[in-house]
Amino acid sequence: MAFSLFLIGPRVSALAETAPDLVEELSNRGVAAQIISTTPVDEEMVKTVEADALPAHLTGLAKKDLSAVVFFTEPARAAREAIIDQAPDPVVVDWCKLDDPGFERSEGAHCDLADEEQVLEGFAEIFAVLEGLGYVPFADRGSLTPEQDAELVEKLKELGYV
Amino acid sequence: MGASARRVAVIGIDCLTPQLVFDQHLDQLPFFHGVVERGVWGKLRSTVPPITIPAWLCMASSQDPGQLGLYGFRNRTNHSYGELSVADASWLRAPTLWQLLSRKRRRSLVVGVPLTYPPRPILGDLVSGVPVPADAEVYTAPKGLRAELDEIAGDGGYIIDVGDFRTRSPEDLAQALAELRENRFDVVEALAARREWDLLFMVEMSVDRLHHAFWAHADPAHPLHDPETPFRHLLRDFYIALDARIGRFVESLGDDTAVLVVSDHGAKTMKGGVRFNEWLVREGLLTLKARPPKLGRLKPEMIDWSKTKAWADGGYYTRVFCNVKGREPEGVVEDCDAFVAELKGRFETMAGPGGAPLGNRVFVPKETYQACENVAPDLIVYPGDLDYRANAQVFPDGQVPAGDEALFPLENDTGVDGANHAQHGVWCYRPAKGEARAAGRNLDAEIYDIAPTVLSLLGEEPPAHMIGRVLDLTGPQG
Repeated sequence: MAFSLFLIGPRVSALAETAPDLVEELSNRGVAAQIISTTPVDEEMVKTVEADALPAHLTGLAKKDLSAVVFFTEPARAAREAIIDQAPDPVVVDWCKLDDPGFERSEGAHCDLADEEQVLEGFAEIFAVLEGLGYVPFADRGSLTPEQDAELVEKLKELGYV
Repeated sequence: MGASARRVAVIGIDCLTPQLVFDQHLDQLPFFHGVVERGVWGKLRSTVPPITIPAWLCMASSQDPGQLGLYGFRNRTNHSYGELSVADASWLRAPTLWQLLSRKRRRSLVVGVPLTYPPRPILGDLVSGVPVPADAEVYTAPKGLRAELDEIAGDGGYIIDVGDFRTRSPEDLAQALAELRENRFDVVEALAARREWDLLFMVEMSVDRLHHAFWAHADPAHPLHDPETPFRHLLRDFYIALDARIGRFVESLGDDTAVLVVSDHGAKTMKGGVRFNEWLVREGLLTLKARPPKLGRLKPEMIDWSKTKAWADGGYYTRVFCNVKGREPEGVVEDCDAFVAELKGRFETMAGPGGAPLGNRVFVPKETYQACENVAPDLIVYPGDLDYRANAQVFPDGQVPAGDEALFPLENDTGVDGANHAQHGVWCYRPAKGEARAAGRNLDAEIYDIAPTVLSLLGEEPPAHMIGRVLDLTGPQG
């Protein structure tokens, strides 16, 4: 199912450098997606779409079963919420800082990330949110270490399951 | 379907069994008695196989085990002969109730649902259920929730599951199970009051552990029953305490909350075990090149694969795998479908103790499920229709007893175990106040019906991929 992932914050354009990796990782997990920014960024894989035009653009993508990752720099909360409300299957990751006067903190976000997240951590958190909502599968089946697997096998034997 | 402000609480009790709730002890269970009189209730047919994993996630996703590619706690990850792998949340490929609701910006509180480790964020709060590794630092989403659990639980902190299940004294284990029950309800009750949520979905494990450890004490017909046992009424007393705790919790949720109490499977007397691999050896289908130095579990390195057509694995049920040419590394079975059909017949006509038919029920996954993702077993066998469990042991060289003794031990290979899982669990529905719903209606249901029914109660349209139906909760007075 196509989703519209909104990454909100004054510095989300910093994530633009991860756009090729985002596209590749989403593809690896069976998701075709377009990377969008509401302000121009210096990365050719990122398409610029003005905020007002986003709902129609995202709806068009969804009809083609294409998901979207949006670097969303609209500062006014009301305007952000109105746009998000019109988007198909919106997911919101909000990096707005409480003490940032230029950005009103968004309510109703699926996940508030810590203020000091670095770009790579942000990348990982994006996928954690998408995994949490079931929009993408985990990168690999089986996340237990061999030691954890062995410990759980003994526990399952004790309980009679295996 | 219009939007609804109603909340739904799903109270999951692993292994809560219908004959104890609805038949034997109903008069002593005020909460369940009230639901039987004023709500909708019945047996809940579980998955094939009826076991914690995959059953809870099949309930939460309305997908069958084959669709999920989850056939038990441990699964083959490929067609090699290596050990099976323990499944975790990363195996799940279908959305759960709480994921679907998160997508619609509706909040969930999820506590203790099996196979939700490692946790991932949802809109709301999630506490992973078993299995959780002992060294797991993070088993909640958000991460900080773990400290809150411990704060609510007080001394000893939040309990994921009972430890040292086989080595505790019966008195100590009974106490630990009661503590597990109260600990889980304490935490969920407090979180339910602190949070806003549309869906609450909790699972509590103590009843499953109770049945396995104490069933023989309560059932005079059990082969290991001791009439003098001081634990003869423990199951009854535990059910009474559980009923009281559920009743108190439901009362705390208020009249505007619709409540479902569900279980993933039931329980029944276990007469003993079946050493299926010793039987396969006798049948000429499994050849061992080495046996263990003492009675022990079959391991892949003991098997002469060039002369083996099938082997078995399992606990409360059995999974049978065929050694198929071109599929397994040293496969010898040429026509898998034909061999599976032959093998199914042999399992179905297998003799039990004394020569009478054992009464195995045998399922072919390709025919049982709507799909078979990942590596499915070739057959799933209920030993004696779950009157028995599978026992993984084989004997040392030259010490295989003749006759029944080799195949039918009285006890589990990991210790005393009085109960096996039964195909049917429990479901019951307490309507929210003011709902024009059924009064005292008995309605049997399937485990796949729970998720679409919950969505419908919340005013959401169940997705087309769900295989269950929305249960009709109206009745004679609805």
